[in-house]
Amino acid sequence: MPAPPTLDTPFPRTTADLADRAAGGDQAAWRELVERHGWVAWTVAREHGLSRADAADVAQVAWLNLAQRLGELRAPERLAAWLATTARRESLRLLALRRRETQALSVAAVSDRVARAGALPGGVLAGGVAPDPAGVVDGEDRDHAVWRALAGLPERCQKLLRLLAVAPELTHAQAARALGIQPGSVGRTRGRCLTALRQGLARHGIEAADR
Amino acid sequence: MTARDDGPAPTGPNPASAGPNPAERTDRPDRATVRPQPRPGGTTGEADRPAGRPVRSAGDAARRAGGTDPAHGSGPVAPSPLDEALLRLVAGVVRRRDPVPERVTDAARDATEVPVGGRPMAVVADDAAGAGLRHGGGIASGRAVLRFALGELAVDVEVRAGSGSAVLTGLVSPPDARRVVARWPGGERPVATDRYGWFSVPVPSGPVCLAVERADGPSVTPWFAV
Repeated sequence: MPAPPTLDTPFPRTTADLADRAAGGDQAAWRELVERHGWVAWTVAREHGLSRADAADVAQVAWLNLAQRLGELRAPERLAAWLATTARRESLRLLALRRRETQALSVAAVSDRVARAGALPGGVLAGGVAPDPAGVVDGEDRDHAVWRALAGLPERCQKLLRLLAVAPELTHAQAARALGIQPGSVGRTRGRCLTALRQGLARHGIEAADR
Repeated sequence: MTARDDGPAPTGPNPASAGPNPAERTDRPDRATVRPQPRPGGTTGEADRPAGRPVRSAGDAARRAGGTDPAHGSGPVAPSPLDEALLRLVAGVVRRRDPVPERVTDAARDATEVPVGGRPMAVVADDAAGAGLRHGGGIASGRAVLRFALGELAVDVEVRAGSGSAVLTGLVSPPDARRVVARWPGGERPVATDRYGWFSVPVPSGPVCLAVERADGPSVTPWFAV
């Protein structure tokens, strides 16, 4: 394979390589970064409880800053963690700024949370975790069951698993920091969370090691 | 800003200690945060140690937890195949249930087309994030305080959020700025500073940044959300 690698090569480039190229003005490399890490800032913001509108602002700030500072990145291979840290900081500010408005918005915020936490399609809360009838669950039903099983976990389990799931490029410690979880225990936390999720899924009729 | 928070932030928006050093005039205000490059997932002892300990619950949980933080790779943690499958299941559901809005992805793609417009300043204090808290106001007060710096130039900003808008009140020091320009995607608003360096400017909610125009050219703050 003597041809110099391009973005079309089947071999994935490293994030550091893409960052270097993007800093040099390579738009294709920048788009690839967005494609690859587009979930990090958004998800961190959402896991801080921000509305979709505020989370969109946080994500945009993270990417604007990355674009502004790309040439200065000290450790471009940790770009995802950088996005996560930026998103946490921006999320905390918006939480502080919105707090005064919270009274007025609490109803909307609660219903948003409820929707995320697993309201049934009809709007009825899926409060209990009653076992679903045994059998195959698929498609929307399966999504719903997985969501409900997640919602049955302790909050920090939910946050950690959702973030690690959509942003597997983060290390456990990076994900934990971005969520304000003590990173010292995150390895164990993750294992316990996954075990708890398996059990929850089993109650919803989904085989834990679903593949 | 704590050392812990500095870890994953290799540059500007998250510098811990660029501020106190007035002699430092650099586009890399995070100099102090530089550390030996850790291999993510590998050398951040805080993450590895607990992952290697046995988990008390089920035996297989211990096996999984113990095998989830290998000291290699360039970022991603490589979980066991079972964990991987489970996380893929979760990822699919999360992506379908709470997708990133298209406008966010579009804005991210276009972010490199937004002109930087000056020398980048660094955040040296951000009370909402618990960094360099001096005013004691931010959390739960409906306002936030930030401080930006580059060399001798410092800008303190207090954000007061309204509904759909915010007011940025700030102090530029030394007070020799010609003017301050508040920028946001799709607009900007210039404002004069008074002789003490004070300024106040209303902005729409969302991403904003400030350009401080001085005799030697403009300096810009990082983008921040209000």
